[in-house]
Order: sequence, then structure tokens, then C-alpha cells
Amino acid sequence: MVECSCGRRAAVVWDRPLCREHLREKLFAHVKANLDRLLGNERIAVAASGGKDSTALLEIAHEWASGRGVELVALLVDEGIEGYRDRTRKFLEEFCARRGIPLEVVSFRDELGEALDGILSRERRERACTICGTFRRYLLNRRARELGAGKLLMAHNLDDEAQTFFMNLFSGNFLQLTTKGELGGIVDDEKFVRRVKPLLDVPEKVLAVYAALFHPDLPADECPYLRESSRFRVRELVNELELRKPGSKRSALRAYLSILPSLKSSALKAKGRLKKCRECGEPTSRGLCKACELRHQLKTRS
Amino acid sequence: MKVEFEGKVREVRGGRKLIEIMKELGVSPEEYICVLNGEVVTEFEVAREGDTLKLVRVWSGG
Ligand code: SF4
Ligand SMILES: [Zn+2]
Ligand SMILES: [Zn+2]
Repeated sequence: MVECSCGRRAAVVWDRPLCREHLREKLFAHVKANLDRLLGNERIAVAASGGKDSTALLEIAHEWASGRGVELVALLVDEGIEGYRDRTRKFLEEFCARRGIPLEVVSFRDELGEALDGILSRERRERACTICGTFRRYLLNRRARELGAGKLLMAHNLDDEAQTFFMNLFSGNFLQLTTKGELGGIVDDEKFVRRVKPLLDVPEKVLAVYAALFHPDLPADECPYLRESSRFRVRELVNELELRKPGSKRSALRAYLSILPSLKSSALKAKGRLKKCRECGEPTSRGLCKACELRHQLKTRS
Repeated sequence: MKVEFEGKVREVRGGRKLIEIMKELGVSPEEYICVLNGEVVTEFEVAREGDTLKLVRVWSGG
């Protein structure tokens, strides 16, 4: 039997074998230490989807914020993905109601005039994540700012970050990392709500085991568009790499973090000062922001 | 012993570590959680004949 230091059977190995209770204890302590480092006393918005990662983040951030008198709001973007987002949204609504967490919902249907499912009925499915991600980032930033949040908490985990690193490596252009909607984390502008990632160094498997143990009613559905995405293929690759050479995900994260400062300064040089999008007024490095450009191209209904 | 995964039930040989069984089935411990006789355990646990192992996929989407 693989034992936790307390003598109980381990549920997961995260640096060391951990039982159910000690997994929870370590996860909460670890993420709260990250929150202490990343946040001050400003109001925070947590990007929440009703998935396993953001639910854990919301739960921990809520406990952290309550203890400090920090105001917190959960922010869900409902892209309009039938059989997926409708289920996780319902879960999140109940989760927030039970704990008294204020929840704000922004939907593609209201903001763009059409659900993602509708948009994708005319588009190639491989474009799903690009379209979805561009509008989601846009809406999260705008609504977080309208809500007066000083920081926007994102639930990206170690695996997500390692995948992003390799995706950029394979695309051959690291500067893309700073232009593909990631400006919010790179360029300081009063219209960008700074994004922080408190789960950055937490492995996805740890979060999955935590969810299985503590939130067994979480919907286990996967987005129907996920399997066509390039991220999904890279995910398999990175998992394979981790098996063959344990520690690869962490190395990728370390490499990414070590080049981030120089990426930031190159991005600033390349982009210069930010302008206002001529259509929506949101910050952009060009005349028209990514979201407006995409909206024209897709001819969404608004 | 029985292994349930992806909606199928298979009969495999017990008396070895779960990770050995996962290898045989081509299932990665990075992508699946082991539930042995109803309890979440690590892939380094040893299964006995008569045990039931359920492999639950680590779904992405946070
Ligand atoms: S998998 Fe792609 S399409 Fe689905 S919710 Fe995530 S980003 Fe959107
Ligand atoms: Zn323990
Ligand atoms: Zn715009």
C-alpha cells in the first residue's frame, strides 16, 4: 500500500503520496500562498466555468477572500455549447448559490447575438477554440473591468501552461504568445484587468483527483469541439513526454517563466502604445481589436 | 479481476501493480485516475484477484 505520511492510503502522488485529507490541506495551502503572493486587497473576479479546475480555484479563492475581507465575484462566460456548457453552468449556479458567492454570467448569445454552436455551424470545427477563446477573453476582460475587479483569476494549471509552451514552440513564433490575446498579461493598460494564474504550478491530475474526491457531482462532460483542437493533440504529446521523462511539464513551465520578461519587452517594443479599438473602444495594438475583426469575418448577428 | 473503462468491462490478471495493468491496456496514468474497489488510489497500488478497478478519465476543461 502506498501511504501518506499520516499512514492512510494515498489517493495521489503530488511530490509525495497524499491521502484525501492531506491532498486537500496541501492544495489549499499551496494555492493560498500563491494568492498571497499575487493579490492585494482589491476586488477580484474569478473566471469560472463549472469545470474541475476553476471550481477548485473558486472554492479556495472564496475561502481566502472571506478571511481577508476581499470582495470576490465569479464570472462565467456562457459560449452556448449544448450538452456541455449548459450542464457546467447549472452546476456552477448551484455551487455559488450554496456558498453565497456572487455570480455574473456573460453569454455569447447576448453579447454577439449568437451562440458558439450557431457560429460553428458555418465554420470549420478546428477553428472552434480560436473563435471561442478570442471572444471569451474579450468578454472576461470587459466584464471584469465593469465589475471593478483589479485582478482576474484564471484557472490554468501546470498542464495547460506546458501545452501552451509547446504549442508556441511548435508554431515557431514565441512572440505570438504575447499577441494571441495574451496582451492582458503583458501590457499594462487601465483597460486591461490583470490576469493571474494561482493554479499555474498545480498538475491537472491533482485537480482531477481533488474533484473526484470532493466534488463528485461535477459534470464530467468534455467540450464537443475539444478533440479537434490543436491543443488536444499537444496535450497527448506532453502527457507522453511526462511519462517518459517525469518532470517535463515543470521544466516547460520553468522555461516559459524564464523567457517571459524578455518576451514582454519585445512585445512592448513591437506593439508600442495601445490604442482604442475604433468600434468597441477596448484596448488593442491595432485599429480594430481581435474580437471585432473576428466578428466581421464571421458575420455574427450583432 | 475486472477493469472498467470507457464504458467497457475487461477481465485482466491481478496480483500486480495497477500501472502494469494500465500499460497492458494502453492507458496513461497521466490521463486516468484509478478507483480500486470504490476508492481513489495511486497507480502504484497492487491489485488482488477479485478486485474491481475503474479507470476514470482526467477530462480537460477547467
Ligand atoms: S474546448 Fe475550445 S471550443 Fe470548447 S470551450 Fe474550450 S476553447 Fe471553447
Ligand atoms: Zn494523510
Ligand atoms: Zn473592438
